[in-house]
Amino acid sequence: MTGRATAGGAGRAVVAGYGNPLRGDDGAGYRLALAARERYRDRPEVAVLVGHQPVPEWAEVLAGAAVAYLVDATPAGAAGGVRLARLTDGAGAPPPDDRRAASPSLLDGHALGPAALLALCREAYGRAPEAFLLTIPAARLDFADRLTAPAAAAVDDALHLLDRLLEPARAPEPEHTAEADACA
Amino acid sequence: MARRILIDPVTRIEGHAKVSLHLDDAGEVAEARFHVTEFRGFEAFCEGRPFWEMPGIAARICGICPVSHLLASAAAGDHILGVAVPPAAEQLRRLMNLAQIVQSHALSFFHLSSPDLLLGFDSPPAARSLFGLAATHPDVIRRGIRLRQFGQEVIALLGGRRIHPGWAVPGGVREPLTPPGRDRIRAGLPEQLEAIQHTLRDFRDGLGRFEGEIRAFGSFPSLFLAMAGPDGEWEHYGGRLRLVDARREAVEPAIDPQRYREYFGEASEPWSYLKFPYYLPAGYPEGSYRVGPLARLNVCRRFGTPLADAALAAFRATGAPGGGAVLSSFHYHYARLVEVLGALERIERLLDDPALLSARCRAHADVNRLEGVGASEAPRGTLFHHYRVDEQGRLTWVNLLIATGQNNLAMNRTVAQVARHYVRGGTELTEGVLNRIEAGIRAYDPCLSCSTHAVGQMPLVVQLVGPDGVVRDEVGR
Repeated sequence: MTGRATAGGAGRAVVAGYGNPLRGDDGAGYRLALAARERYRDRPEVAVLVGHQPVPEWAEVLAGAAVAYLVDATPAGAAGGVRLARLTDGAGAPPPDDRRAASPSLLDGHALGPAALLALCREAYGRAPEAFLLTIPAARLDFADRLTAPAAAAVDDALHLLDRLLEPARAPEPEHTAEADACA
Repeated sequence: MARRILIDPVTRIEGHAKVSLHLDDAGEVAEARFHVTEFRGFEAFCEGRPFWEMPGIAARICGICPVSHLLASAAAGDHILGVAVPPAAEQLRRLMNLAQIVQSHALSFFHLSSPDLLLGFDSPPAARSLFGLAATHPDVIRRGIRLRQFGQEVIALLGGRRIHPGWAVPGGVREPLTPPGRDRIRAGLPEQLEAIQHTLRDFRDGLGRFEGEIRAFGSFPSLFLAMAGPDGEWEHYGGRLRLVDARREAVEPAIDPQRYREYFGEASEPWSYLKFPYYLPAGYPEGSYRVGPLARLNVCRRFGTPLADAALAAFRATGAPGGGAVLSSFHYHYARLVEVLGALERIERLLDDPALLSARCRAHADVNRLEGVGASEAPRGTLFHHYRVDEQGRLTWVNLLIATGQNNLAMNRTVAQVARHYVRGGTELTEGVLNRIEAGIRAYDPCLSCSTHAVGQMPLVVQLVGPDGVVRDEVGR
């Protein structure tokens, strides 16, 4: 497993954060991406995408990357903490038992999940990056234009994790891969 | 036995709706309705807010066409201020609206409707999606993605973000366009012009496969409303409104948008949250009219740019002999492609204007009028924002007349026409038939998030329909 280049990506990394910044901690991924855009401003090999939700237009950027980190909020469970789960392998293929990748008809152009977005990369562009879902626990999802303190701290943790993952020779070490199905 | 058929939800549209078909004992369609089932409430909760805030609030009505609301709202604010916005601001607003038309039409055509057009209305529903299309026509998907990206990038370059830019304000715009921004837009144009011409050629070549749909998808005479320039050219911002009939003859040659309420009424029905606007002199529901790409191409005399004018001539050839209007709502798709081509040409032309880069892009004033109407051509059609304010500029009344609402009567008529064409006595109701009914609506690219607004007391009727199709109970308020 590697966090660096596979065929076609030329070592480029993408951080794609999404969520609704007016729904409290749901905006954690969105806010992380805004911070990452500033943080990696001088890193041309790191592209940052920000949005309320993944959109088909992201497929082109993702398909051109070696590795991608999709960042979303997830309801805080008992375990808590920032989680990193694998979505695709080094060749951009989903795990064989990935239910979401097997149901791409969910993809209707209006709302996409990470698996469907990566499937669109494979179909439309012939390749997908090695991809991971980085989830930030959300304590509050009602109307609010800021994060709770625990979610804000988790965003900081996630940024530090990304710093390490985006070091040129660093390999990501996903844990709790099964969490991927509960996210997004 | 009488039956009721529900298509719930209608898919690949913006927002939430359902269709109900009522069949008589012979299995013929007795009635068909397009129900809009979501409610927003912007007109009510914006009361009391300062009108200066409205462009930013109104842009939040929709994630697909925020620019349309932003510009119509800012234009209403201009009128309340009583100012003429600086020329650069006027041109920059035009530039953003053209980019909005490009990105929204790309979404509608490539992402939402191409699965029907390229994979077929009868193809398996699981495959009839953007994903299915990516598997069979990846080049089409890539073209659509690039075209939409281009439009969104222009919006982001001007407004700082792709969605919900708070850039246009009463009196002008917040920021000018920079020379690097202009150059970046210009650099992207050739690829998109080539892409849309390629798509237009493919679409025209494939039209022969859709003769049935062209006849059945809302093909009827009606009125058409759109903005037009002083010489009748295609217009999308700042123009007068022109209403034409099925022969393309002017019924109302130049309506001042400030006086729209003298010409258009708003009705409501107990089974939908969506307004039913109509042309007042013709009454309700006879005053049904259509807006949007099809209407704009039927209303205008010419586009005013060479490639789009050639495409417009070919488009007109699909209409009635003698230069009549193109009547089938199926051709909204065709009209969208022509408009994207023309919008790109107009963007190119705007970029050549050195005044576009002027830093003088906002006029400042206080409240000078207590009422103002802003109108623009949104991708889906004519959009009105109408505000009344007190002396301090607080909104006392808001009315939003949205494109999709203005197509409501036509969409209902279209649903009935499609259903009557394909659902006949004894005919098996196939998935492909249901999809055609949805596609009849999809042709209008309705945006229900934008258009669900109350007229007076909110009507609500709940029906309990038994398995035999008989209404067992009904509760209304």
